[in-house]
Amino acid sequence: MTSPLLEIRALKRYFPVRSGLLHRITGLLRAVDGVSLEVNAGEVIGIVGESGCGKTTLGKTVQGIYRPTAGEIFLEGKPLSRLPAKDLRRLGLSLQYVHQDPLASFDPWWPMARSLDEPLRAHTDLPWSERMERVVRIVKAVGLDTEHLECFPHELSGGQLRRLTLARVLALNPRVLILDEPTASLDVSVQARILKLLSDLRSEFKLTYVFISHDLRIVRIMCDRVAVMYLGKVVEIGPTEAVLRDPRHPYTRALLAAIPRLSPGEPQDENLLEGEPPSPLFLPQGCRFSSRCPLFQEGLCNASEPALSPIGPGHEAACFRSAELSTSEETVARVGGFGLEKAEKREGSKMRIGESDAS
Amino acid sequence: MHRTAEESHLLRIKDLALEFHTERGVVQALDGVNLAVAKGEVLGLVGESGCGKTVTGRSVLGLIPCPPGRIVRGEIWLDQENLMTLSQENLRSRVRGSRITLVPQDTLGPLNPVHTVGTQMGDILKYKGRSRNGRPNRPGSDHQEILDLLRAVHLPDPDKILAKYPAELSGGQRQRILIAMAFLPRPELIIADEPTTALDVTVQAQILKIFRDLVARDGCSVLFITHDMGVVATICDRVSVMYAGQIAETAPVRKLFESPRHPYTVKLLDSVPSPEKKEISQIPGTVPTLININKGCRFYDRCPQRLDRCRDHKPGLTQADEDHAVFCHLFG
Amino acid sequence: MNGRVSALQSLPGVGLAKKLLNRRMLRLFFRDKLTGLGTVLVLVTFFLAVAAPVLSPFPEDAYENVRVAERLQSPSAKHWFGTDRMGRDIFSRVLYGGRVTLFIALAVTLLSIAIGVPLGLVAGYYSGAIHEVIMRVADVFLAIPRIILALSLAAALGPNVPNVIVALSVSFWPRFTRIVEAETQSLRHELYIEASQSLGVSPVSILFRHIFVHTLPTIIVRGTLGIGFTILLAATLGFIGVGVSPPTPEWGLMIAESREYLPGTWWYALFPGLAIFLTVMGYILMGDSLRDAMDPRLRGIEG
Repeated sequence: MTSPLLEIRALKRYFPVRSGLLHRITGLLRAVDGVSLEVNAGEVIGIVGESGCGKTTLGKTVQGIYRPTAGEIFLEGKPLSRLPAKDLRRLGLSLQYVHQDPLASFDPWWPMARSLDEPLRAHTDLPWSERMERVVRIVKAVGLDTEHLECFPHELSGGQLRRLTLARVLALNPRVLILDEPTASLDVSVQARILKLLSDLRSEFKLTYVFISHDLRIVRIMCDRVAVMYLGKVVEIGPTEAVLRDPRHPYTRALLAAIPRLSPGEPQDENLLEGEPPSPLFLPQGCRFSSRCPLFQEGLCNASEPALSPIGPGHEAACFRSAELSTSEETVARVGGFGLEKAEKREGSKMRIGESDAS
Repeated sequence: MHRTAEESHLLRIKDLALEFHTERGVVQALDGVNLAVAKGEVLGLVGESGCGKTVTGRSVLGLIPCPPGRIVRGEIWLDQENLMTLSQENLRSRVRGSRITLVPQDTLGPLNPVHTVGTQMGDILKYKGRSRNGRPNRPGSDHQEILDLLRAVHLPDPDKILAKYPAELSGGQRQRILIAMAFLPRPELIIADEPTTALDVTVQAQILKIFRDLVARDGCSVLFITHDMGVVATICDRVSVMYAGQIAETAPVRKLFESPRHPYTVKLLDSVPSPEKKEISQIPGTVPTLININKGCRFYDRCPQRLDRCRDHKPGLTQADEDHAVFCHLFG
Repeated sequence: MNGRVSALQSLPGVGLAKKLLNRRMLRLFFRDKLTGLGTVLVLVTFFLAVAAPVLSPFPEDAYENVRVAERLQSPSAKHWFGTDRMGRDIFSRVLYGGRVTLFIALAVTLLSIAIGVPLGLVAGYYSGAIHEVIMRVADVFLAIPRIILALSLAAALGPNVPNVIVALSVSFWPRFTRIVEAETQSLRHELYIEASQSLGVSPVSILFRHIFVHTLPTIIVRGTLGIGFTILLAATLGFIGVGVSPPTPEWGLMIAESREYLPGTWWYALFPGLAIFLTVMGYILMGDSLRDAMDPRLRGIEG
């Protein structure tokens, strides 16, 4: 049993909220409030949640864009906060974060070649011609060509920009990529190709992915395991099929129920949540989901916060009443449970995407 | 697409062709779009970015700036009136905001930041309201109507909401208000332009339910523009699929999903991830630029079943079924 | 399609230069009458200044010369702008004056940029002591009106060209620091800066290869406007007598000399004054269009 490649332990990231003339600290935004995760080499773990759940902050804190308020991150077994700067710099390159907005993550006045060259220029001593050779190779690996290198960001499409963000990060030979909504704002057909690209890159470059998304449908296709976040905490985690087939946290169920189905005419209204998440500045007492939970029980759910407890192999949920969420056929049908044909799983790859990319 | 009696259609777009004159050339944005929304029906207009669905929606309201736009040909009929014969002034005073309203995607832009929600909704009734029995409403009943609508969109404490400014509300709350504002003047037609695209999936589910309930209550027609097939399945009665400025296929929603005919529709449905499927497929190639595009079917370059004829000859309308229309040479 | 990317791409600012020099850019410099006028004025005054030795009918009049018989003559075929109190050809002196003035203005602006911009970048990027020290020092200088500062310094240092340049620069550099600091503060939070940081790019690299380039439009606008005002200031210094000293042909100085002969010898003050006016105008008109030229995203309207 090898140790995990990336381990996050009790990670917290708080933001002070200032208001008033003197900019005094009036509150604390607990964006990430005690998250622990293990990511094994070669796997794809999904982080799912809606806006405000903290998944982007989690990704940025892990990579180092934000410093953790508390907790520790271990990469290849080494604690990142206790490393000397030089080692940290070198090790930190193995862990890269890919932003949600590809257009905004490039300098609008730099031609793409220069943007892609930047990490190589910063970290290698290679002369320009050799760096360009590497850039061209990687650009081809992501399905583009040299003509795209001469463009400016605003001249390229969303899909092309997304490929280039990946190319830029791959130049550093990372081991773990934190992908923040890699298919956001992309058309459905482009999305399929980017997902296939991600799958191919993973095998070609031996990568591990932390896949942040709000869309369970994509997570199902891409991820081996999934963690569901709500207001800064993980409420359920486990192998994707297990979590989606047998969701044991009411929020996970609500997420599943809310996905519009392609089979028309069967709305699952009873499982729809009311209202919106409370502001992270004013969390409810006890369980954070209590204000919207259909299973809310006075005296139990608002007394203390439930911790993640095991449901099945590798599957945990943080709900006092998770045992009551049964897996009867009727419940599965109500929630719109995912079809359970046992598709054969290919070794090391969860992706099954038809047709090759001809472009 | 054509019902037995044309009079049952509230909105009819006939052969609408629109182009944009830009520095890079003439963009043929719409190429003979045919669309019809029956009274009391929700028609989905679905397609990927750049297909022209938003342009079509805005054309109905006359909101496409000309220049650089130019309407080459076509007619837009609202009931018995050809909207294209109306001046901007007439459109503004008689159609926009009263007979046809718009629910936009952006929730912050359309709301005036310096007026409260109550003021803005009140203004709608003041300037655009038509009551059910044709007589102008009394001031008191105006207020009641607004409160009723706010409750219908599941906003708690409507009184408090009225006193708030748009910036004080969340995206989901603002979208509900915009929906309320769209239903307030009791329009005949509502054009919804991707109203839930920017929202979380649980909020989207609520909004779609609210929309469905309000449509059922008021009996108005809706042209629902979206890129999300799942949303179409949830809320629409019929759906038109658009590609690169052309309508590919129009059918009742269930029929479209069960037996899609047009090759693009087939591929589009295949590439949508959904809980029912474990695989998604891709469409090779890219959407063509709409400058100097071929005269025939615009899906030609990427169509796995194309014929020689398809490149230069536009397909005509074929009735695959009484209510299922396809624009494809394979069928006619 | 060859598989190699052109070598040019790697040079700093080449992307920018390529964007600037294509036909669309040239159209931008002349896109409306006022902008075109500004560009033309700048180019013409620059050309005239550079070509002064060639174009002047009486190059010897540029500095010390005396033609008693031709003193204070009104404009004629021989002396297009008339003559001054020493009988020197004013046209030639105006042309040569352009050299002096432009030299001073450009030197001042470049020196102020060289001092002010790096300080502004550093102050904007870092917070804490560095930021405070730089900004407070700049504030002190900014609190004093430019002309008073320049005047006092010039008077203290003595009237010659280098001193004028120093005096004017000291009063000018904080303005660049302040605007660059403000821009840097906001740019610092841009997503592409964050992306570069997470790629491990060093702060120095980020400051000078990313942020600096984006502050260039502001710097250029401020700079071109500043050239205009600097020219006026230099002329003022000259007019008051603490700037360059006679017999240097400087427009302000010439106007000062003309005072005792006004209003009769109108040409003596008019032509140097006109020169100041046109030159300053040109830079100000052009400054605006230059700023628009810098952003590639503003080019063209996408369908």
